[in-house]
Amino acid sequence: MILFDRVTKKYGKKGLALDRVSLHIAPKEFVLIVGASGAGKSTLLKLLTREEKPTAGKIVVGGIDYDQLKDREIPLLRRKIGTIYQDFKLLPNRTVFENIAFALEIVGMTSKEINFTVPRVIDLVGLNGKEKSFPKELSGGEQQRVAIARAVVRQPKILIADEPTGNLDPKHAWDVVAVLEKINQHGTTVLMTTHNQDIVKKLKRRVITIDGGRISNDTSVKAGAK
Amino acid sequence: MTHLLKQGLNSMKGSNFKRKLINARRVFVIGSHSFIRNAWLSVAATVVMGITLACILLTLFASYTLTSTVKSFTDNIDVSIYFNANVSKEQIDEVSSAIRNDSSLGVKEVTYVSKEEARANYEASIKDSIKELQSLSQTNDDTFPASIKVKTYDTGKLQDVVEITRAKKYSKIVYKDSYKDDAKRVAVDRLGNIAKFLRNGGFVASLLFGAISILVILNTIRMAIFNRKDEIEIMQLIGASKWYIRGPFLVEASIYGAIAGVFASLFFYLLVLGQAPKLGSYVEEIRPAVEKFQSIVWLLVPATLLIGIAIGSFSAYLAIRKHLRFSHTK
Repeated sequence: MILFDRVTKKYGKKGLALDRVSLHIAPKEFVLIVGASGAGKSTLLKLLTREEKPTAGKIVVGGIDYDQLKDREIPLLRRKIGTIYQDFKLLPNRTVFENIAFALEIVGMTSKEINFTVPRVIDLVGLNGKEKSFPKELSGGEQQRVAIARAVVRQPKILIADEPTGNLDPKHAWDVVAVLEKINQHGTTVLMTTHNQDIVKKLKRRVITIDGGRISNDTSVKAGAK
Repeated sequence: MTHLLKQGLNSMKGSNFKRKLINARRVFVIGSHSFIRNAWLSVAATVVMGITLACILLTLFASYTLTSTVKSFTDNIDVSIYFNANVSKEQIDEVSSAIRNDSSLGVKEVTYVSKEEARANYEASIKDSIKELQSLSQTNDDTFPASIKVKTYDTGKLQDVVEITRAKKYSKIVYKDSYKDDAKRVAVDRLGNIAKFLRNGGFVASLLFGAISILVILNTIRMAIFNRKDEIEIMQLIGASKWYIRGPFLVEASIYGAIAGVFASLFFYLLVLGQAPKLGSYVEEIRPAVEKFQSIVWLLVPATLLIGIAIGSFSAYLAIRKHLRFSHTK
């Protein structure tokens, strides 16, 4: 599903964010990416959504070779990948329903299709009854669940979550993780960066540790070696 | 590559064309909402644009009126060459031919007026004055010399005409010409200069207001882009196409242009053309212009709207190019 082959990302001459990173993530996997701040976790995710271009190396996602990707094709790529951010990135002047529907509007779905799809996703993330609420009326955990709903409403094959629990208290953090697990069970590949060691320990999923721009530990590689 | 990417959107059935139509409608709706949301800025931009369009319409009207007035006056300008009493018709024809055959003069018409016709014309002009008629009866035929009336396409060439007739070889034939006291020609020349000045002045004013409109709209759209910065970033991240993001700003600016076009047309037709008949009773020459502009209302109103939309979308395009020049990738 996701292949990184000796991917390097430099910012300027000295800022080495990723150094010859190679990894493979299979379909339907749930992968946690951990590491200290500035280790290169977010850069890795930004390379996947093509917010950043690698300095060297090859990235292939779902059969799409990023080297061949044209600028005008990037929106199409992003429609295939759901993304969740630590700061939620919700539109404050739109309701929960409208925020989720927004992801469908931009791809030209009809109102009928939107009215059919959005309530099902709201149900999936457990926000029934909050459809007409505005983001400021919701708790952090609820806002993040709106962001998750928006990310998955187009049924992407891959879901990327950049520190989705970073701004949440433990209870809400676990609510969000539970939703992500549910989505993974439906067959979506999930990549999640986190600082939360409690989540890492309890989830018992593949963990990739990044340190100084390099992969210092990959539990799946270890499991394979055993 | 595009094919592979589109496969991922398999849950969205329906033709690509239909999706594009839906998107176009949404872009229009977002642009319209933005117009309403930025009400004060929108009003300011629309007013300036309206002034620009009204200025263009007034310039066209004034220019047309004055040009047609000058033309109607010019059509009546001629120079008369008077001949001595003893000159034969053949000699006059010789002078006429010399003028007619000179291609550099651009002669429109040469009309011969015999002594009898000249007397009859004068008689007709003083028919209401008994005293003058009595004086006329005491004159003989030679009092009114035979003449030719010369009209040229360019009134400036009339001077060249009289230079020919004033030549030495015609000194015994030609008695005098009407050129030196031709006040009508001078007045028309002045009017022509005024028309030219107004045309140029109107053009400059239209350009000036056009530039102000562009600047105002450019700034309005720039502020709209700034206000929607977060929304634009989110749209980019979740896969909105470049034109889905840019389109609403173009729509918003086009709405300024269209509304301004409607108001400028209303102002022009109701106020200027509505009042023109009153003015026409004092200045006869304004009538053809009024009639002309009334007859092309079907062309002028859509053209005004189109010019407004063109100025609006051009300004928005400049703002987008400068302030929304994003690449999806850093």
